[in-house]
Order: sequence, then C-alpha cells, then structure tokens
Amino acid sequence: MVLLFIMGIVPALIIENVVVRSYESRAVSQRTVMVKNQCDILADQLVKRGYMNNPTDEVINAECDMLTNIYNGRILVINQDDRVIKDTYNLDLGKTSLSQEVIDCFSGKETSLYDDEHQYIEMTVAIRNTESRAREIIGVLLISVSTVEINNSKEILETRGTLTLGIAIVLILILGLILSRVLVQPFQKITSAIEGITDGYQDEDISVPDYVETELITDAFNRMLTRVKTVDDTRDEFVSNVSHELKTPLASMKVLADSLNMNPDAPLEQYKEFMKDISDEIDRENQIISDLLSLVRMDKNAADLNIEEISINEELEQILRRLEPIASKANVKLYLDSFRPVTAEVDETKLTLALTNVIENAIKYNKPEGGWVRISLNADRKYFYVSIADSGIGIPEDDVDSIFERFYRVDKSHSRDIGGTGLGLAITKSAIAMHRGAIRVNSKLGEGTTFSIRIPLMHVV
Amino acid sequence: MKKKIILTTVFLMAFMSACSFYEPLEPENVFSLYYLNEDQNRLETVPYTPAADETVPVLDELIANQGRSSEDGKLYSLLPKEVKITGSILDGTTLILDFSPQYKEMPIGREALVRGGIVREFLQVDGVDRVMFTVDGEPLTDSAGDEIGAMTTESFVENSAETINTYQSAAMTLYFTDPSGKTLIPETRKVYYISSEPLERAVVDELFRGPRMTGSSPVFGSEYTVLSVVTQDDTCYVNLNSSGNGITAAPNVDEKVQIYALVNSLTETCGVEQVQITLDGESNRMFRKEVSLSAPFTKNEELTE
Repeated sequence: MVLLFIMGIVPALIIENVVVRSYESRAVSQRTVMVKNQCDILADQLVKRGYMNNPTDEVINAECDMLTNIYNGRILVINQDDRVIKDTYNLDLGKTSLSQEVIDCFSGKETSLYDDEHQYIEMTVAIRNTESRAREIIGVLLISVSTVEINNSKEILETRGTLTLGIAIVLILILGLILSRVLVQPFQKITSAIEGITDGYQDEDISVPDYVETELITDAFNRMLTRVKTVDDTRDEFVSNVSHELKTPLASMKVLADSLNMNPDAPLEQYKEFMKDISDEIDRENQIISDLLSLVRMDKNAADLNIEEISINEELEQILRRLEPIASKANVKLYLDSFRPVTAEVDETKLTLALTNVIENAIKYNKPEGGWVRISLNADRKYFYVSIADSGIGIPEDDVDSIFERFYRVDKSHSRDIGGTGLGLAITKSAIAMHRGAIRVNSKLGEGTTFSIRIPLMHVV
Repeated sequence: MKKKIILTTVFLMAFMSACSFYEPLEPENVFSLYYLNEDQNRLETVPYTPAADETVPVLDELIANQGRSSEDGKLYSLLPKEVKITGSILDGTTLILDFSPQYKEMPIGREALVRGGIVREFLQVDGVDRVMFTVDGEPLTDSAGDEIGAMTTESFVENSAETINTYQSAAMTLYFTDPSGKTLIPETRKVYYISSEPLERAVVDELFRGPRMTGSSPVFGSEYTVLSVVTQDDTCYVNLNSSGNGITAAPNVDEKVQIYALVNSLTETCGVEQVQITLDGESNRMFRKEVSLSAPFTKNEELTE
C-alpha cells in the first residue's frame, strides 16, 4: 500500500518540478535571445541614423518605446561619455552610468544575465561605429527586461501542477485502498477457508479460482489435505486392525478357560491340552506385540539407523542357516546364488529382519508338498540387488498391491494355520525404505512369487 | 511580598534602561571611502571615520587619501598613479576639484567610475552640496566639448536594471501653458514611476518636470517644491513648499493657470474629485496674491484652449 503510494507520487513530484524548472529556463533563454536580436538591430540603426549625436530622432525613439512596450523592459542608450542620452522610463536621462555591466561593455565585454531574485534579464550591447574601420565603441545599449510575467506563468504552472498532484495523490490513495482490498481478497478467502477446515466446520476441498496463483495454492493445499486424510484413515484402520488382532488370541484363551471352568470333571489330558493351547495363544499375542513395537520403531526417522559396513553375502548365509530347520521341516530347499562379494553400509539388525521376513514367507507359503526358494545377490556401482524367488502358491493379482499393508492377509482362512502376525512385510518395507531402497513383487498364482529388493551401497542421509 | 515584586520590577527596569544606554552608539560622522574592485569595473566602499570634524580639514583629509589603495590592499584607489588632485576650492557649497592633465587620458569607463566615486565621497562632507571638476584649471568637458558642470549624487545612475520591477507605467494627461501664460494646453504622455509611491505624487512630479511638446511652457519654476501628495477619499492634498529661493521661472504665468494646471492634471489622471493645495501645510494662506487656498478646487475646463 505504502509502496504503491510512493511509486505513484514520487515520480509525479519529480516530473512536476522538472517541467516547471525547464519551463522557466527555456522561457528566459528564449526571451533573452529575442531581445538580444532586437537590440543588435537597434544598435545598428542607432549608428546609421546618427542617433548618438542627435537623440531626438523620432524613428529611433518610437522603436525604443515599442520595444519597451512589447518586452516590458527598459532601454538606456549611453553615449561615449557614459552619459544616458535616452531612457525609455525618462528617469535617468543625462546621468552618468556607474553600472558594472556598462563599464565592462565599454572595454568590449557584453553581458547578458538573468537575476531570478529580482526577476529581470539585463544585457548590454556595444554600439560600434560601423562607419569607421576600427569599429570603436561609441556607446552602450543597456537593456533590462522584467521577467515577472515569466515568473507568473511559472507560478500558475506550479499551482496547477500542485493541484493536479493533489488530485492525483487523493486518487492514488483511494485507488490504492480499493486495489489492495481487491488484490488481497482471494488470499483472505483462502485463509478463512483454511481456518474453516482447521476449526472443523468445513470438510470439503477449498476452491478460490480468482487468480492462477490462488488456484495453485488451493490445489496444493487440497492435495495435502487428501494426503492427511488418507494418513488419518490408515491410522484408524490400523488401530482397528491392531485391536482386532490383539483381541483374537484373548478370545481364544477366554473360550478355552471358560470351557475348562464349566466342566469341572474334565480329564487331566484335556486340561493339559487346553493349557498348551492357551500358552500358544499367549506366545502369539506376545509375537504380535513385539512385531508392532518393531514396526513402530521402523516408522521413526532414519536417524535411528545404526549404520555399519557389512558383507551382505555373509549376512544372507547366516539368515539361511537360521531358517534351515524350518525349511527342512516344510520340505523346502534353499539355494543361494552370490554373483559377487558385496559389502554395503546398512543397519545390520533391520536389514536382517527385513530379509528374514521375506525368506520366511517364501518358505511358509510354499506348496504343501514342498518346493524351493532361490535367493540371488548381485550389485552394480550404486546398488546391491537381492531377489527371492519361490515355487510357492503365489499371490492373486488383486492382492499384490496390498501385501505390504499392515495386518493384510491374502488368504484369511489359512492364516491361523500358517501363523504370523500379518506385519512381516510391512516391517520389511519400512526397513528397506529407511535404507532408501525399494522392493517390488512379481507373482503368478500357483507358480510362485519373486521379491526384488534394491538397496544403495552407500548410505545417504 | 508586594514590596519585593515592586523592587524587582524597579531593578529590572533600571537594568533594561541601563542596557539601552550602554549600547554602542552609531558614530555620527562615519564616511564611506570609495575604491575600485579587483576587476576595476565597480565601486566599493569602506567605512571610515575622519580625524577632523570641520569641513575644510575633512576635505583635506579626503583629498590626501586619494591615490591610496584600501588598508587591506584588496581594493584599488580611484585615481591612477599619474592623476593627481592639484587643488581644491570650496565656493559656497560647490566644491571645485582641479586635476592634473593626465585626467583626460583615463579610459571612458574608468573616468566615469572615478567621477562617480569622488563625487559621492565628497558629498558626504557637511557643507558640500555639489562637486565640480576642472582639469588643469579648465572646466571638465565631454567628448562634444560641452561642460559637464557641477555634479550631485543625482548625476549618476547605478544598477538601473535591478529596480525594473518596482516601476509601473501610467498614461498621464498633464496641463501646461502657452508662452503667454493665460491658457492651459493638455499633453498626454506615458510615464514610468516607482510603484511604492502614489500615482498622484508621480503626476505632480511629472508636472514639475515641464512640457515636452514644442509650444508649451512650464507652469511651475523652482520657486515651489513638492513636500507631500496624499489622497483621502476623493480629495487630493498637495503640500507645496514656497520658502525656496523665490526665483520665479515663469513670472508671466497666471496664478489660476498654475492652480488649475495642478488641479486638472490630478483630476483627469487620477480620478480624484477635488484638490486641496496647502503651502507649508497651511490652507489659510493666499496663493501668490489673489487666490485663496481655503477651499479645495475642482476641475476647471474654461482655461483649456
């Protein structure tokens, strides 16, 4: 607002001043030139008509009076004795001139000056004897011209300028106020819309299509809002899933305990069997809780990573050694293809957890009659790649996109038999994301699944 | 308490009056010595208090000072080295200064400045009203051979341009007389006068300057001088001084012609209805012999040709 004001008014002020100044100097110089011309002509005529010796010449006197009237000035003709022989004001006739300009003119220096304090132009023109060869100075024309008139015009100009400026200032002020209102209004709309959402009484997207800029802002805001809503929804779903998963073992335990309580004559074998089931359910509950905890830890930022340089080949061998018992129990053969030695900067614990979960899944979801799991390790300059292929039951196409979600189960009916908490792949995905890596899945129902993992060799913060 | 205030007031008043008493008094006879500036194209003045206070010794002191530069050495003396003042005579109130023959060799501009400076300087001395120059015993003449004669401050003009905006012009109808002094002859002219003085004053002054047309004669000589011209409502009061040297420039001019030249000029040019003439501020006097000044005059067309 203030900026607008300054931008509008300062140039106007400058222009006004410049115009008035230039008018004055131009008018004065124009006047000077005109008078000077006339006086040069007059000086010639004075000599030709012998006025210096006969100051009663009617023609010259008439001409002097005319010039005096036209230019609002005064002409003094001074003869060679420095005596005034003609004064158009008739005030100083016969006097001897002591003016500096006249004395200067007698020594050949003509003057022309503008005194803006007393508002006059004064000039001297030497009258030279054109008849003689020496062209000696035989007199001086002293002309003074009032510039009050020029000054009056200048003042009028100035007054008009100031008036116009005043009007302009008022207009700019009003216009500026209105304009700033109008300009800022869409942004105010956005602000109130956002406040509406914050306060909770507005739920839909905001839309302020007044300017391209506001549209871009609202679009960006809407995208953010959608994302926030998705996150919110996911969290709600997660909470309900967690509650459900935690309740399931508890419900089983309750059923087992109640049936024992209601049947006091139950044989010892039944007691033992039920107590074992309850113990299993507690283990399961425990497993779910520790998985959840590790998942939550994964969700925290990458600063929690404990980065060190390790051999991925050794790491994989160790994992396979640990999983060997489960594999042989399920009649699954494990193969490891290491194409080259790979060392990388990773968090050992988290990476091990991630890989273990994928390989364990590959074993668990193999075909009931048994099968194989083939793990390969490769690397280029930037990344190392681990692919885990199995001959398992495969994943239906519709479910492929959801398998990394928490508590997501492809086959809900079999899940209890196979065990697990439904959090394994979610943990894997988080761990790999923390390493700035990526995981892809390719699957064909009934033929098998291949997980491809890519992780950078160097850890980048 | 009251006493205290009174005492304080008295003290204060005494103190204040004391202050005014001890203010440095302006020395009565401060002169200006005239010099030329560095470019020798302008007069400059330096304040000076002469040692003597009688007319002649002061004149001698000033004459002796000619040809010297100013004390600080920045300003030049008026007279060049070769020109000397060879003698001086005080004839009544006219001072006659005699210069050496080299005076005539000065260039025109320098000569004018010298003349102006010396005249102004010597006119400051009490008892000197006019200054006349002679060169080698002969009166100073101009290039045409005419005598320049006695000079006063009025003989010189300086910075005529600076005051241009203080003048304004008016068309005046002035009444003069024929050589016989019996009738009035009107003359119209454009006159420039200083804006700060009233038009009536300018009219009276212009009337006293005399006619320009051939065949007209002036109505007033130097027997009268104008003391004041004041206008109130539609009456113009003209106060004349008749105690001059009594020389009648136009003894044959009729008294009525003199009165009505003044009255008609003023009523015609300035639009006043009547003119009251006073002599030395008194209206119960007779103008010359016949005309009483007791009542104001109105315009009289009968005397006009």
